[in-house]
Amino acid sequence: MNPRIKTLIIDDEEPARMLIRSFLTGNPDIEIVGEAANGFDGLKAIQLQKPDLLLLDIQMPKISGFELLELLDEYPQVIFSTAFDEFAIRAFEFNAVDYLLKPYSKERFDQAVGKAVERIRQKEAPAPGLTKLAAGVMPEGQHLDRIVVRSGQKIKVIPVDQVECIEAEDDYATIYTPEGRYMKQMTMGYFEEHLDPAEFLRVHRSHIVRISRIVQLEPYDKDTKVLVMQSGKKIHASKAGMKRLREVLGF
Amino acid sequence: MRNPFLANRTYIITYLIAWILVAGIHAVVLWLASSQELAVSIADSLVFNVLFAAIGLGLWYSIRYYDIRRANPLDAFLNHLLVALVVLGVWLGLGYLIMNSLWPDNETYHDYLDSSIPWRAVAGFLIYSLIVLIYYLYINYEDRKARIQKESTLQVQVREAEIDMLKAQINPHFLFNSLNSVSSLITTQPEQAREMLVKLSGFLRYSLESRHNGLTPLETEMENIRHYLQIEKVRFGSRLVFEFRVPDECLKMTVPHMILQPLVENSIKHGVYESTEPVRIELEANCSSDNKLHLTLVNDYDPEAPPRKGKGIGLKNTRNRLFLAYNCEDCLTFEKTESRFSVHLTIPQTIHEPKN
Repeated sequence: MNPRIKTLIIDDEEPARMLIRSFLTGNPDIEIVGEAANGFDGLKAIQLQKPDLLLLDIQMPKISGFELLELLDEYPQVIFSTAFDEFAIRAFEFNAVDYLLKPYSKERFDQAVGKAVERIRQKEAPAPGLTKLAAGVMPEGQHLDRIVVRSGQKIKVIPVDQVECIEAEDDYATIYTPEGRYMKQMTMGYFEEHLDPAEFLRVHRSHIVRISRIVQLEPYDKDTKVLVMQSGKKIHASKAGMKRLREVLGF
Repeated sequence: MRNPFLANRTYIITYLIAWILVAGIHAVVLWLASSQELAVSIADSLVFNVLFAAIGLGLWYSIRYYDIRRANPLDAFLNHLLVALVVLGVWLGLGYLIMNSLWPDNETYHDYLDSSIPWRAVAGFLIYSLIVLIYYLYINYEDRKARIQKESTLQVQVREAEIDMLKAQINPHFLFNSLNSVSSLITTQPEQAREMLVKLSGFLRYSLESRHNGLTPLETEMENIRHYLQIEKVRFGSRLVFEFRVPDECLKMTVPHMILQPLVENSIKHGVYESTEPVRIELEANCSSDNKLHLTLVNDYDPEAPPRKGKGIGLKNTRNRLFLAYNCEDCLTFEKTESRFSVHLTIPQTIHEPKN
């Protein structure tokens, strides 16, 4: 017999967790290994329990369901359960099994869990990390307003307003703020897609800068330049990057 | 607004043709009926009519810049009479001088000119009236056109505002999350599920009442807020704590319908949504002093939580509503301390009558 699928419920509302628990009770494939009422506890529970399946709310205190997933190097299969229909497109970025809109029926719920069980049983590749996905789409007119990063057990929520620039290093992106620098496993493409293009510009294959924090341009070679940022940090802008910068700043 | 006669080519041509006709008849009548020389007749007609045509264009400015809305009818009439006298005086005086200097020795013409002054004055006055009348018709026409256009844009704006207000009152996420809670409670705690449905229905009924601009006793408004918070309490459990401190004498005082709901919803959104710790929401009323109702809504918030987008719309809308209802700029004030956010409402008990 197949081992039971370790399932974790993360939702900040108790009745919502109760409902999921009652829907899962009696399902021979599922073993509920825990519940968490917010993203922080959720992260801890995932690291501790290593579940195969997550039932995940999106709107939660501290960090959202999406931000929680971004913090994981690899994550289990996910079924989103939320009252917000505007996030459905983002859910596809995470290769979610399903996207349940509250309130949902038992049939709809069982169908989603059935799909998840099938995926897990067939050892379908665990959901690919965001880094390997094509750049996703944010809801029309919406952009990231914060970035959640993790160092060891500590979680830091960085308001996007504080970000001066982002630099690519191997698989990681380093985010520079006046308070310090933070690493996150994420591609430049992701940031380019999700940050507000009115504020941020990709000036190089491995550099994104906040336009308003550029203080000076210094010549580098024939076609490229070095941008001096408010913090004093110097960033190399490529030929294509300079072209984009000229378009935005109009010079 | 430009002088209508100069506004486009058709009007200019019409104006000129009208004057050419008048001048032609004038010359012919003078020549045949008063047996003046042809040259003198033509000169007389040209001088007086060209002068009046020019003055007629200038009259526009006396009308355009005289604000008739602020004058009473007698003032307006006297004003026009005065302008008419000046205009006629200048016109006749100038015409007289020019014609005299052109034919200083033509006695027949001089006698005729002297005797015709009263008739010219009467004719001039009629033409003056006609031109003023045309100007007023034109202004009226343009005003009406502008007003009709403004009314239709206003109607669209009003409808949009109503829709926005409905949307603001019933947040769909609140509705769906609450229904999800009911769905959860139905099997485990059917009694509580029923209770929640009753409260939800009460809240929806109150929200949908079509007296968005009407007044409601504070008691009723509070009852509705209590329903709303009790529903949220089922969802958030110990994370939400609320307390009302409202003296009995304030209960009968009036507030605009649904004025508190968006503010309480903000408290939930920025307080409870973002916090893992219990968040306290307090509503306090005070009405002892100045025949005004003072309401203060306070909530805790997590200072570490990054600011959420959309902040301020609820506050701005509420301030606008109070401004429209009571004509006061500072009916809504708010302050933010380390971990508490408070909104203060001042609600006069005499409603401001909008002037028409």
